[in-house]
Amino acid sequence: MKQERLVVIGNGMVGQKYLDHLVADGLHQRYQVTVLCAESRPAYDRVHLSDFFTGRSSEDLSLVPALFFERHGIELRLSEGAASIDLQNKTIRTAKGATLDYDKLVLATGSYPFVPPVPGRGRPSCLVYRTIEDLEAIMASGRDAEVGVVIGGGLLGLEAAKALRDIGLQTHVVEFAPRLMAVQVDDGGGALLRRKIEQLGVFVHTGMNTTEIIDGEFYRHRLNFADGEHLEADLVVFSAGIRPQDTLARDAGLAVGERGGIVIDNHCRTSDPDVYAIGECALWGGRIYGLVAPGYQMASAAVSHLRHRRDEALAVPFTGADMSTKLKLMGVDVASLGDAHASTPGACCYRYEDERKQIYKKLVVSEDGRRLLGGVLVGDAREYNTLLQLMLNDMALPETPEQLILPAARGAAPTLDVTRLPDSATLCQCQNVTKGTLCRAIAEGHCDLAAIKQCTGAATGCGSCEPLVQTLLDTSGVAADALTEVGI
Amino acid sequence: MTCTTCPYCGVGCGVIATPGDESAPNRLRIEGDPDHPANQGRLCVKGAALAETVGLEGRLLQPLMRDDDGREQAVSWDRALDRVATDLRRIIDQHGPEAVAFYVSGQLLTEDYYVVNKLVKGWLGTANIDTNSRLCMSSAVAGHKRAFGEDLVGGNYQDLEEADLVVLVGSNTAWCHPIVYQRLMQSRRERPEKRIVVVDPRRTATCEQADMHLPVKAGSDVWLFNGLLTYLEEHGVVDTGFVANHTGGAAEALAVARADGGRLEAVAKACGVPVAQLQAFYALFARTRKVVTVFSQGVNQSSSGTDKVNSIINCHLFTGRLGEPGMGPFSITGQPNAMGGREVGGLANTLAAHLELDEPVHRQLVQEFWGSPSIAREPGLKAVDLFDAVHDGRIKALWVMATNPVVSLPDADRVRDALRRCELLVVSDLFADTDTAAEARVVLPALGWGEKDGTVTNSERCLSRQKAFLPSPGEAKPDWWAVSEVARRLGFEGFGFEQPHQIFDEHARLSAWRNDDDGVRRAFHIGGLAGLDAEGYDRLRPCQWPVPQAGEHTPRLFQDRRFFHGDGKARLVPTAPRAPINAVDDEFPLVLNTGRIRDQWHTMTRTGRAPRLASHLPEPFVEMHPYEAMLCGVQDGALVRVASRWGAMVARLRCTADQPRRTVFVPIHWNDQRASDARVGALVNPVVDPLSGEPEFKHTPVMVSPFPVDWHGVVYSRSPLQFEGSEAPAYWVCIQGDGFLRYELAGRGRLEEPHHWSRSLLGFEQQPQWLEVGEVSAGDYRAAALAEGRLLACAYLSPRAELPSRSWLNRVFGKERVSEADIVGLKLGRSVDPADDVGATVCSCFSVGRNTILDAIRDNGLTSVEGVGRCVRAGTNCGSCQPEIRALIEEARLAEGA
Ligand SMILES: Cc1cc2nc3c(=O)[nH]c(=O)nc-3n(C[C@H](O)[C@H](O)[C@H](O)COP(=O)(O)OP(=O)(O)OC[C@H]3O[C@@H](n4cnc5c(N)ncnc54)[C@H](O)[C@@H]3O)c2cc1C
Ligand code: SF4
Ligand code: SF4
Repeated sequence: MKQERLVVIGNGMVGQKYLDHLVADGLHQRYQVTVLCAESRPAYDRVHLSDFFTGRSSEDLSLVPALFFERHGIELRLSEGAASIDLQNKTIRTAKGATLDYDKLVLATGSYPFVPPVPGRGRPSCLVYRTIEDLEAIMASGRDAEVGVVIGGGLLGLEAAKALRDIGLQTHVVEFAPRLMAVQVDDGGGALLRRKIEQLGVFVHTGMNTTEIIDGEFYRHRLNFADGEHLEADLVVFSAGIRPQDTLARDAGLAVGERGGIVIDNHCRTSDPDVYAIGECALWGGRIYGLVAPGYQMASAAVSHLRHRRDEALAVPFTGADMSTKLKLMGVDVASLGDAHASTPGACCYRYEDERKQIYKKLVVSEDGRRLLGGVLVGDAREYNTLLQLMLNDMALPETPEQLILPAARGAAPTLDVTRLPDSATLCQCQNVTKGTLCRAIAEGHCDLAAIKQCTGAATGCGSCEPLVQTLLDTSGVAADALTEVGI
Repeated sequence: MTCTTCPYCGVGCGVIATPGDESAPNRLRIEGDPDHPANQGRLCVKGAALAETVGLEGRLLQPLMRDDDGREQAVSWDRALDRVATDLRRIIDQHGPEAVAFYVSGQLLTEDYYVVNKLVKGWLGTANIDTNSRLCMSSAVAGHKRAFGEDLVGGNYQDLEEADLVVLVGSNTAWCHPIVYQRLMQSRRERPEKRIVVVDPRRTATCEQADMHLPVKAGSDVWLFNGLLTYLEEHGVVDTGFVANHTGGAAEALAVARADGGRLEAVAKACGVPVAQLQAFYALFARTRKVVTVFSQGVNQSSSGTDKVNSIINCHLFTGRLGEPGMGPFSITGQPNAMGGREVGGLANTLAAHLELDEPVHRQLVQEFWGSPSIAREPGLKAVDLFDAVHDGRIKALWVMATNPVVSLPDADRVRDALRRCELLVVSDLFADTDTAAEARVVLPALGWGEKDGTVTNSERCLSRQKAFLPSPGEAKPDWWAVSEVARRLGFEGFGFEQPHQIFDEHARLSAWRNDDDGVRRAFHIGGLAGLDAEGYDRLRPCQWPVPQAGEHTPRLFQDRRFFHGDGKARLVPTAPRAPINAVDDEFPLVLNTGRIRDQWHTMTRTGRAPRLASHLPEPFVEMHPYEAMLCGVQDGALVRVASRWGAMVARLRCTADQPRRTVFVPIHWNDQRASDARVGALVNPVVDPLSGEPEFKHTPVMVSPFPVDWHGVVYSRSPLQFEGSEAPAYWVCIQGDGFLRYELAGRGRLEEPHHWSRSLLGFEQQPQWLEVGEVSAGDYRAAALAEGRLLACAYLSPRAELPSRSWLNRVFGKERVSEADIVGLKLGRSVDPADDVGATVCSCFSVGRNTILDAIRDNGLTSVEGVGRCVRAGTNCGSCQPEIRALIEEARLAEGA
């Protein structure tokens, strides 16, 4: 029987995760796999992109183990994007004019930066921030620049601002909304974040609507704002949000959302049952997930479906993902959980702010005060993991939920009782490792952090779960010791 | 118990020294003097470590003479002084007095300064005497004279406490004037509404507590303050009455300021800061009446230093903000007695006692008082020119006192060359082995801190005693004595001083001499201190001049709104901004800025001897922005070569985002005795301010390139090592430990037979116990020598930069007996002693502990995760511990700044 052909379009973070799962499940031997990659290098870690400015090379950022494609017989076509898809005939035309047949197709085309239609946006050294090429352009342009400005004060905008500061520019952030990171944090958190970021030497301008970019008098460009103010800069980076890269799908006639995004079901199938879409190009339940963890879950769901294509019931579906995040922006801890803005009817908030230490914490709890719905942490996000587990596992809150964010009067802060977590609780969000998996690994004799990491992959992504994994190790260690003591 | 004064910085803290008793004669105790107005009992780390630096190790105890072939001979004082006098006489007879020069230092006591100055200007009749204060504050002197008619610092440290706004310009106060900084911070804790603004191209430790940091481009201060002056005028923030009645020149100064400072955007561009920030600073300054503007080297050390000083003073004069508590411009000096030198006039362009060379009345007044045969009529050669004149043979005899110009002057290689050409070079110093003394014909043993006796004046005009509480070692003598002896041998009268109080008395009387409206009125008046006998002099408590009558001190000048120009008014001076003289270009694209680090002092001849001080940033380094490093192709933690048109040096690169782009920073401290090639002075452009003659230390175009090496090493030894010719490694630096010396090495080529090399270097051909691991894999070599269980030396060489933890080796070297575990550790090149806490594992891939990483960061001044990786491998595998390593770097950095 002729081997079936599987084509993956896009070798970004999620596309690569898909291939990883494929290989882990041995499916790469069942299909003849071809990967079309529009970029000139295979997948790399976009999340840590800004480390490029502090000395990490593009090799360091690579997500592809050496010889991955060769060893697994996967064909990788670099710098060769897909130009069109013919769903009828199940063929793809590549940008280089080649035609490929497929039996199964995966779209992992990600997203592209949205550049608002500001006159002057196409001027030289007006750039975006998504790929290594973008970074190289920023660096090249930064060589002779003195002042840089980022349009957009969201998560990615602040990352970009960090990059500009890292290359030693006088850095400004211009945000349309009245606060930074409007999606993830509330007013209180946004105000504190702004103060901290300004202390780091980044100048923040909120509530500013850029109307045009023209020649500057003192620097290369002048940004004019709706309120008549202006700002001059040598380098402009747009970071005004992302848009799903769905043109291919749209042109091919696949169903796309009103505001973009390739519509998928719980198995990541598009409107054509032989075509999957995963990652930031995909629209599930009416939303685009602009984070990597949900994309990874889609990748895993899509592979699972491919594996169980004859018995769909066995496939692990994608059922939506949590959008909580914790990050370090220019050294400032910021975390946002669940319903950060308390938009759930009846939700109540607890807030704690320490202006001296510059810490802001907010809990959003259900009307009855028993369940955690969300939260915001700025300046100190130590409680993130505890809160996340409480929220995701729908665990009962203590009588006085505020103690979760108040500084402990003496001794250690209340920590999560890991033993109470269900086995299904995902401890490592990056690598999708559950408590059950970890416990099994420990039981198998992986009894230190290094071994656990190696065996399960937990805590090798952002690392924020490491304390939890360590506690799990410690507590299970106690149990094991107890057993030896009684002579078992 | 002796009340004396700290000899390090211009803060001039009072110190109580208690020499050890019979049971522990060497245990000197040092405390802050609670009654001294400068520090009220506090001391910074340098002051507190004073006891560690008074040892006699390496001290010169007898005069030395060298013949033409460099052969050295210890001689009696008589012979040495005869030689100096005879040669001086001969040179003066043949070439005239202008062929003789003196180069002295802000380390001298006022009495030493007075006597030298008197000899040079009154008896030799030249003004060829200059001082290393030229390098640090002569622009302030020139600026003060232009503004006030006299070199005056009106305010005091208390004003910094009382001010509502303190602007620190080009002054890393936290490190360079720690006690003033502590007082400032304390006052802010008490009054949180107080504001502190730092104007500095670098994000220094001082910025961390500041409310605002203006990271202005190097050399743009005049733009900044011209802009401020214009802003003040535009917003009507002017003390009209004061300007009209007590100043002149406001209209001219404003016209010039407006020309460049008229548009906020243009000023912002010139200074490289955002318009909004500039505006915020101007508005803050404008609305705060009680403002003190502190400035020091960052302002002074520039080819437009004097204009910078005046541009600052202009803003205070315009608003009448001086002469009252909590306000005024405030120049803070780097050296303990820079002010004393200024008071006696020990500079090439002043006469004496705040009187001027170019004023016939002043000359007459001084000559009359001295009864001297002649009086200098023209300014002498200023530091940089002076050494030029030595170089081209116009000056044939030079006497250097208490300073190390081969390290500290710009274009320092040329300075060394000049000294070699000099017919008669006399050096008075504590050590015979400084880079400068090494070139001298005659080296005279001077007294150190705790041995000498006299007075000093700190930055707030506070005159206090530095006293002897230790015996004079060997035949060392006060500098004033040596100078007087030479003067006597030259047949000069007026040098019959036997004790310092006699000199002080004469100095005090000169300050009062015809200091009235009939003579020449001047602020510097300490007539109230004249007539003290030895006992009264010893009991002298710190006091701020003028002291016209006994018991009358003057904490603050200008309260009467009287200044010292002929008309009694102050001057606003037009200051047109000028770019630094040497601009960067494609070949030398970076600006070199030089400065001091917290725990070292000047050229380390003293502080380099204190282990506690040497452990903070132990190696010479270059700081650079990481992105700039990337553009130059150099790596954090690696050795780099920094070169200018004038010279080059080698140091370790520290990448830090605190360093502005297109600039590099190099500390001034390292010398040829401590490192192979780390004198930054060799690179600095010999360019000076036209008025003050102060060199442009803060702006030399340079390039940075990799300094490739093939092996790295660290060697510990109980005695100094000699690197001979071809055996010398390409790079070495010597770091003082507690009872040992540590050498960081790096070399080129393969080190053939490392065991021979290390044995002959360490001089252990037949050691009792010589542990040698020899060449382990990959060219590593490890060896250690022990005698009776005590470590004598060890050597670790490797082709990689991964060498044992220095903190751990330091501890092992500190032990009287090493343990079995230590011996195993020495063989392995890392601690195996469980008592040696390596800390919680951070990098699990290579099991590297927290403390090991912190040690490596501190030992090597690492600033990046990559640097840590190169040193101890942590974070180089899976990389998931990198965030934690980054946090440790931050932690170490904060601890460093504390
Ligand atoms: C600077 C930055 C910081 C971020 N930080 C975080 C963070 O802290 N946490 C977090 O969760 N997420 C973060 N993200 C988001 C995260 O990177 C994305 O969620 C993730 O990369 C999405 O993966 P993807 O594979 O869907 O898309 P991508 O990684 O964008 O990959 C899509 C790939 O498909 C290619 N492609 C597109 N069209 C075609 C075509 N026609 N033919 C062939 N190839 C095509 C693209 O060139 C691209 O290489 C960050 C993103 C950026 C840019
Ligand atoms: S601040 Fe200066 S004078 Fe005071 S103790 Fe420190 S070094 Fe000495
Ligand atoms: S980051 Fe790896 S290198 Fe370090 S411990 Fe981890 S795991 Fe290692």
